[in-house]
Amino acid sequence: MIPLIALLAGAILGLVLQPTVPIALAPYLPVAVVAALDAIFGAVRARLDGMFSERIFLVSFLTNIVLAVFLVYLGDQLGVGSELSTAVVVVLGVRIFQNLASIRRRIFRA
Amino acid sequence: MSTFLPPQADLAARRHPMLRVGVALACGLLGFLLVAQVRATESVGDRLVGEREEDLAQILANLNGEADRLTLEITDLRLTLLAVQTAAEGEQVALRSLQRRLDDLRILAGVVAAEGEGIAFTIADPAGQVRQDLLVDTIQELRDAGAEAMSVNGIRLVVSSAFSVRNNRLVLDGQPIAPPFRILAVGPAETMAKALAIPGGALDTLQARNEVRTTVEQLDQLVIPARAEVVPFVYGEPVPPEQAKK
Repeated sequence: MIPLIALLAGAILGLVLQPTVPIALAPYLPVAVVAALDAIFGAVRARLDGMFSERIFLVSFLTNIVLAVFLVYLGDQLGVGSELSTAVVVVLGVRIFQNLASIRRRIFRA
Repeated sequence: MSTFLPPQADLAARRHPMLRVGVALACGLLGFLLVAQVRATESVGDRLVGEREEDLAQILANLNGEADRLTLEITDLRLTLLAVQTAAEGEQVALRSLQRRLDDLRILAGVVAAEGEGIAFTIADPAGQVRQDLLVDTIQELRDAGAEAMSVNGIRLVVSSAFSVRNNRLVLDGQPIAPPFRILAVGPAETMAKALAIPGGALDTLQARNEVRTTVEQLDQLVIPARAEVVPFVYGEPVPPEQAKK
């Protein structure tokens, strides 16, 4: 419950503050968001499986974001930035889908 | 597949308050980042800011190509429009000149009434001195002065009009006419009036007769009636223009 409230509070804060994304960070923010979404859905699934751990969630949340951003940054340096960011988004998207499928099975038992 | 396969040791750490705060912070951060990213994607300009250099170059090249293509299309369409307008104007001009010519020919043939400035020429002849030769001379004089449409006692004069005498009575195109003669002529009023008044001309000749009185009125506006019926041509056939040139 508290995480959900925190999520909404963050969203409202974003709406109120209307932050502008720094140009240097602009290519990395999308993959960071997708990586964070992956961590969140993983956490929800673990919670439903009864295996949720705050520590692991925090570590995976941070490493997911850092890893995804680092991969894209590396791709930019190698000249394959857009391809690599696509690859990261695709891989994370697949994982999100699998986690959602697990969550669905938990909730609907189907 | 999940990143969450916790060892049993972590279960003890669950209750740690700092970790719960961390989780809440992480969720808040996600919400904030989500909103920020969605807002950044809202407008095209902001979206372009997020693109890489090579992508921007590609987008620019695409847009340039599109712009060039559209410019060509605009030029093409402008040319087409111009051509169509020119053709339409040409047709309009041709149509107007044909219409004008048709009007002229209608007036000449007497199938329509004609109106405009002109003169009304009245010949009072109680003694019956005026014969057809004098009338033909007068009409000829008026035509020479530029008369475009004429009538005598309400009978429209056309190309085939002729005076004749039947049973000692004056006849115009089969209809008897009698004095006083009233000749209406559409044309340059002043020129026609002067032409009639030339020394030794129509007026002098007419007034030399006994009891003949003439009046000439210059009018700004008079109407000549149309020919009652059109006499069909029986012997004449039109010759096509290309044959006429040979």
